[in-house]
Amino acid sequence: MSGIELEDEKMSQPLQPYAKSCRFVLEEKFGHTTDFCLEEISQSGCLGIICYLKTMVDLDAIQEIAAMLQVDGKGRQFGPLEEEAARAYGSRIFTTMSLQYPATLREVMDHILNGYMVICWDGLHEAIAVPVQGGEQRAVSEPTTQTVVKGPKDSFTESIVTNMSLVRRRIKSEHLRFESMTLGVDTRTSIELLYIEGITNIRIVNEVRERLGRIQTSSILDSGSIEEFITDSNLTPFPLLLSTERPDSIAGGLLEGRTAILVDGTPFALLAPVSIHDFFQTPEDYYLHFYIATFIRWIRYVAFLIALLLPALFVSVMTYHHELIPTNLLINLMAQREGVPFPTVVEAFLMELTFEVLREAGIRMPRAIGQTVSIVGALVIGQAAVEAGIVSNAMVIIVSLTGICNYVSPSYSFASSARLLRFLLIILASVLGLYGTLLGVVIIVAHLTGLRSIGVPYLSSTAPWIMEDQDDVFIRLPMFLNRKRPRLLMPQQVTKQSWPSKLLGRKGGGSN
Amino acid sequence: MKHPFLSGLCSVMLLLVLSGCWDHYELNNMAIVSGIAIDAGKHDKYKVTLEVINPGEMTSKKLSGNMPSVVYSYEGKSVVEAIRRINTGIPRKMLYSHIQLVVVSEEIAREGLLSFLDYFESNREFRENVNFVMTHGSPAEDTLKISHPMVRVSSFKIVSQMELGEKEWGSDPMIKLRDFILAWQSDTKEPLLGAIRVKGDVQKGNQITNMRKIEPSALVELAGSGVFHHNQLLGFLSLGDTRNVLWVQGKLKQSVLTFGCGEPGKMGSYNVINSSTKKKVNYTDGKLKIDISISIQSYISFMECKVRLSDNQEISRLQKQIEAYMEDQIKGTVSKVQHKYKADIFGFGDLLDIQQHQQYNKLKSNWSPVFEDADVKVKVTANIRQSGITTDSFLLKAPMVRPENEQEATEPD
Amino acid sequence: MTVPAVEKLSRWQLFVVMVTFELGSALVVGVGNDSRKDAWLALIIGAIAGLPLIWMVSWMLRLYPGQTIYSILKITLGKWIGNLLVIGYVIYFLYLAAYVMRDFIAMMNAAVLPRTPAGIIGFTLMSVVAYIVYLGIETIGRMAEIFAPYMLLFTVAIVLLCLMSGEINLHNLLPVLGDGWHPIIKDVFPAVLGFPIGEMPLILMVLMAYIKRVDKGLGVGMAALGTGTFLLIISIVLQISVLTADGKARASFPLLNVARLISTAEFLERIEPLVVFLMMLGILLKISVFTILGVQGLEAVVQVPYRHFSFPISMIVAFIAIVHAKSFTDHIIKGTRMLPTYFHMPFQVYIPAVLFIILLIKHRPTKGKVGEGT
Repeated sequence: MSGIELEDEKMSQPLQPYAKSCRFVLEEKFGHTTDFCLEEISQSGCLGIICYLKTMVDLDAIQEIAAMLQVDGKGRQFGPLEEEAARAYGSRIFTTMSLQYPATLREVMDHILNGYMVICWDGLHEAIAVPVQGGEQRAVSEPTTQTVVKGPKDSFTESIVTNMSLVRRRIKSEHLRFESMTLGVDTRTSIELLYIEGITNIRIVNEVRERLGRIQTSSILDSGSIEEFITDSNLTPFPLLLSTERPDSIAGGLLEGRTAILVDGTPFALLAPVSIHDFFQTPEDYYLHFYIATFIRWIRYVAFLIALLLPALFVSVMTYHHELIPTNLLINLMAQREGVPFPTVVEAFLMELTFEVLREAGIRMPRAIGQTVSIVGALVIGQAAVEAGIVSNAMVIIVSLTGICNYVSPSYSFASSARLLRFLLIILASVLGLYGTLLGVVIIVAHLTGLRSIGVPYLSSTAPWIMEDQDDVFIRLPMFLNRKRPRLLMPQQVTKQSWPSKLLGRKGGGSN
Repeated sequence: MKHPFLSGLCSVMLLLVLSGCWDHYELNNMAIVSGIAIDAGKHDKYKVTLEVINPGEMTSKKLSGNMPSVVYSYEGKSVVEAIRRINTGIPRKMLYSHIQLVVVSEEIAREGLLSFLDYFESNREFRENVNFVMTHGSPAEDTLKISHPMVRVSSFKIVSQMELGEKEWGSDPMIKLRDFILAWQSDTKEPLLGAIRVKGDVQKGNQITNMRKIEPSALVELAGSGVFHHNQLLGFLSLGDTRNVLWVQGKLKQSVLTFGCGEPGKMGSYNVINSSTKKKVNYTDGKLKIDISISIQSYISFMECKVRLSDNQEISRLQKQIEAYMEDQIKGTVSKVQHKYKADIFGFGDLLDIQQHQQYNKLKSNWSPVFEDADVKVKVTANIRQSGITTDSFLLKAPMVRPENEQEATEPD
Repeated sequence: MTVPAVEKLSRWQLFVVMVTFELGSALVVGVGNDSRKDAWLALIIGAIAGLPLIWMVSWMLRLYPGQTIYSILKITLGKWIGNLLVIGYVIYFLYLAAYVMRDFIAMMNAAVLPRTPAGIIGFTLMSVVAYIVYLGIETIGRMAEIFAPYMLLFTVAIVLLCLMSGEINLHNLLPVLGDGWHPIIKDVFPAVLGFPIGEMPLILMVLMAYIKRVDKGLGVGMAALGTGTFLLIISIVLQISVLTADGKARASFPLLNVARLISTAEFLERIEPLVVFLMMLGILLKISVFTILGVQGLEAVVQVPYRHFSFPISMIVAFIAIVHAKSFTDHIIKGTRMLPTYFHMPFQVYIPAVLFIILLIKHRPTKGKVGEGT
C-alpha cells in the first residue's frame, strides 16, 4: 500500500504551469499504450498539449473540437491570453460545454481515464477538461432477468450515464439527488448514490454514504462486490440489499424512501435498505389489478415455502411419520418404492443434486438448447431413473415441484438462499423427522429476526408488526388507498396522497 | 477457543449426524396392517391374527394376480406378546397406525378377556377411533380371510359394509374402540358391540378364486350386535333390534320401514330420510321414568294396499300406522334389553347424571334393578312427505272383469 | 450481525409473548384435573385471583422504570439478601424451564419419536433455545409475534376439525357445578394459580423493564392474562367435551388425545404429529423466555452480559430436565405436589408481597397514601 500512498501524494500536488512537464509526466504514467493520444499545440510561443484516450472518447467530437481550436472566428489567439485564467479561457473558447478544471495530476489522469479531452497550456494553473465521452455501448433493451408481462420493458445498461438518465426521466423532480464517488483503486469505477431529498431519511443516506466511503479495494466490477462490502452481515445466506435491472424498480424504491446505488459497468443497481418482503414483490404488481396482484403475491410466498420445505417434509413423513399419509396413498407409495435400493434421504439428495447440476448446465449452454435441457432434461432423466429402479416416482415429482417453485421467486439471490437451506433441512429431517425440520425452521426464523439491512430490521412489517404498512406487504390495496410511504423506512414525508374524493363524498371522479 | 459458540454448535451437529437415527424406518421394510383379529388360543391364552396389505397388488400397475393381503396368526399369553412375536412369520416391521378393524371372537367376549384394550388405548400406534366388532358364530380370524372382488382387502371391505349399513338401514352401531372404553368407564352405561359372521365355506373363501366367481363361495355379513355387562358378553340383538337401539340413541338417520298396511298379506314400505330423538329421564317415587320421543320424516316407497295417496286423510291414517308400528318396535326392543339383559346400553343413567345429579349419585352403584324397573314411554311423530315421483299407484286400478266361461286354451295354433 | 446495545419491546410484543407463554405448555398438559368437569370455572377463578398479582408487580416496576425485579430486589433489600433472592429466582426460572422441557420430551417420546433418546431431543431443543437467548429479548419478542398467529389458527383449526368429525359432545360438561364450589376452590389454590396463571406476573417482573412506556404495563399484563385464560378455557372445554372429564384426567397430554380423534374428509386423519409440532412452537417460546429470565438474573448478580451465558446455561437446563425425575410419574408428582407449595407460592406470591409491602412503606411519605392494604 505504501507505494501507492506515496504516489498519491505526488499526484495530489498542484499542476505545474508548464505544458512540457505535464507531457513528460503523463507519458511516463500512461506508458506506451496505443490508445493514449497526446498532441502538442502552440500559439504565439505558448505551448500546450491535448491528450485523450482514443478508446474512451467519441472521435467525431474530437474532430469538432479540433476544428473549434483551429478556427477562432474573430482571428483572436486561441491560446490563453496574458494573465488569463483557465476558466476564463475555457468559457471563451468552449462556450456551450460543461467543462471541468482539474488542478492536480491525479485529477487530470482521472478525467483522461473517464473520457475527457484535457488541454494543458503553459501559464495556466488548471487544465481544461472537455467532456467528449463516447465508445461503443449496448443499447437500452429488455431486461434479461426480471421480465414482466405488463409494464415498461427497458432495463439498465453498462453505462452509468444512460442509467442515470433512465432514472431521471422517471422522477422529474428537483429533489432527486445523485452523488458521485469513485471506488476501486485499479478500476476507478464510478458509483452514483441516489436518493430523494425530503423523502429519504437522512440517517439512512448518511449511513450508506459512510459505508461506501469505507470501501478500499482493488477492483469493483459489479454491484455484487459493493453489496458484499456494505452489507450488514456477510454470514447470512439471505441478501440484505436488493439488486435489480429495472429502472422502474429503482424509481419505485426511491419514492418509498430508499437509497439506490448505480455502478458503472453493470446493469444491476442496488436498493437499500430492504426488508424481506421486498424480495417477493415485483413492479408488475403495481401495474396489474390489485386482486390478481395480491393473489400472485400469495403464490410467491407459498412457492418459496414449498421450495424450502417440500423435500424435507417429504423425507421426514416417508421415514418417520407414516401415520400422516392417508392409507391409500401410503399403499401406492409403498408399491412404488419396492425394489428401490436407496433410503429416501439418499434418493432426495441424489435427485436434488442432479437437478442443481442440470440447472447450472442449462445456464451455461448456448441459448438455443439451454432452455430445453434444464426442464426436459430433469424430467427425462428422472423418468429414466424411475424406470431403472434407482428412484421412486414420487421423488421425481417432489424434486421437479421444488425446482419449479424456486423459479417463481422474483429475486435470484433470494431464491438462492432457499436452494442452500433446503439441503440443511433435508439433513435435519433425515435425522429427527418433522421435529428436526421444525427445529431448522425455528433456527432460520430466529436468524432472520436478528438481521438488519442498513439498520432496518429485516423482518419489518411482520415483526415488529407495523399496521400502516400492511397495505403493501401480503396484500396490495388499490392505489387510491395506498396513502403512505412505508413507515419502516421512517421517511420524512409520509403522506403520498390525500384521501380520494370519492371516499370523502365530494363530487368529481378519480383519485387524487 | 476462538469461537466457543460456533465450535459448540458444530459439535452438536456432528453428534447428530454421527450417532444415527432411531425412529427412522424405510417404507420398503414396512408392512401396513389393515385388520387385527383376536381369538382364544389353543395353546396359549390369545391368538392374534393380522391382515397385512401387499402393496404391489393394490396398485393397478403391478397387479400380478396375487392376493392383495396376507393373514398371519400367532399365539401368546397376552396380546402384546403375540403382536411382538408375529415377526417369526412375517418379514417386515408392522405399521399399526393404519388399522381399520379390530375383531374379537365371541369366545373372548363371553369370557370377558378384553383387558388388552388398555394396550390399544395407551399405545401411540393404535387409534382410538378404529372400528371394533365381534363375531357371532365364527372365529374372528376367519373374517379376515374372506376376499371380495370389489374391495380387495377384507378389513376395508368389512368397514365399508359397516359404514353403509349404518347409513342406509341402521343395521350396524359403528362402535369404535373409544365408544366401548367410554361405556366401560361410565358407572351405569353398558357397552354394545356390532357383530359380524361368515357365511359360506371359509376354505374356499380365502383363495383368489373366490374373487373370480359370480357368486362368491364365502361372504362376511353383518349380524346384529352384542350386549355386554362391563366386559362380558350377555347376549345378542338381531339386526332389527340393533336398529331400534340406534334409533333410541339418536344415531339413526335413514332407514326403511316395512309392515302391513291394513289389508291382509299386503305390505307398505316407507323410506325414513330424517329422524331425531329426544330423551328425558326423571326419578320420582322410587321409579325411573323414561320418555322417548322420536320424530321422523319419511316418504312412501311402495304401497301394496289400495290407498289413495292424493287424499290428506289417507296420509294421516298412514302416518298413524307408522307411529303405532314404530312405538311397538321400539318399546319391544327396550323392554327386551331391560328384562332379558338388564343392561343400560342406551345411556339413560348418564342422562340422569346430567338432569338429576344428586339422585344419580345415590343410585349409580346399583343401577341394573333401577333400569329394569323403569317405566318407558315412547312417542313417535311421523311425517310423510311425499311418495316418490308418482302420487297414486297404478296398483289401484281395478282389473278388468273376465267372463267365467271363456277359458280358451293358451296353446298357439 | 449488529446487535443493538439497548433492547426494546413494543407493547404488542410483550402482550404476545405473555399470551403465547401462558398457552405454551398449558395447552398440552392437563390443567385443573381435580375440578373435573368444572375445570374451566377453576381457570376463571384462578385468573381473577391472578389479577391482584399482576397489579402488584406492575406497580412495583413502575416505581423504578427500566429496572427489572432483580435490581429492585437488590436496591430494596440490600446487596446480600437481594443477591440471595435473585439467585433464588434464577434457580426457580431455570428449574421451570427444565420442567417444561421435560414435559415436551415426554410428549415427543410418547407420541412421535418413541425410540429417540431423551438426551438427544433435549440437547437439540436447547441448542435452538441457546441460539434464541443469544440473540436476545428482541428476538424473542419478534418470534412470538411471528408464531402467535399460527398458534391461534391452529387452536381454531382443531376446534373446527373436531366439530367436523362430530367428536364434540357438550353434554360432557354438564352438570355444571354438580359437586359444588368446594373442589374448584381447592384446585385453584395453589395448583391452578401456580400453573398456569401465576407465571404471567413472573414475566412481567423482568420484561416490563423493556417497554418504552412503563405505565402501560399494567394494561398489557391484564389484557394478556384475560386473553390467555380465554384461549385456555376454549382448549379445556374442547378437551372435556371430547374426552369426558375422566378421559381428560387419565390422559397424559389431553390435547394430543383430542387431536388423535380427528377424522374427517377421508384424509384428515391421524394428524397428531402436526399438532405436536405446532404445540412445540409455544413450548419452545416458553422455555426460551424462562431461560432468558434466569440468565438475566445471573447478569444482575455477576455483572456479565447475559449473552455469554446462553449456551452453557441452556445445556445445564437440558441436563436438569432429564435427571430431575426418574420417570414420568415422578415428574408429574413433583409438578403437582412439590412445585406449587414450595416453589410457586413463595416466588409468585410471598416474596413479591413482602417486597410490595416494603416498597409501600418506603414510599409512603412521598406518596402520602395511608392505610393501603395488600
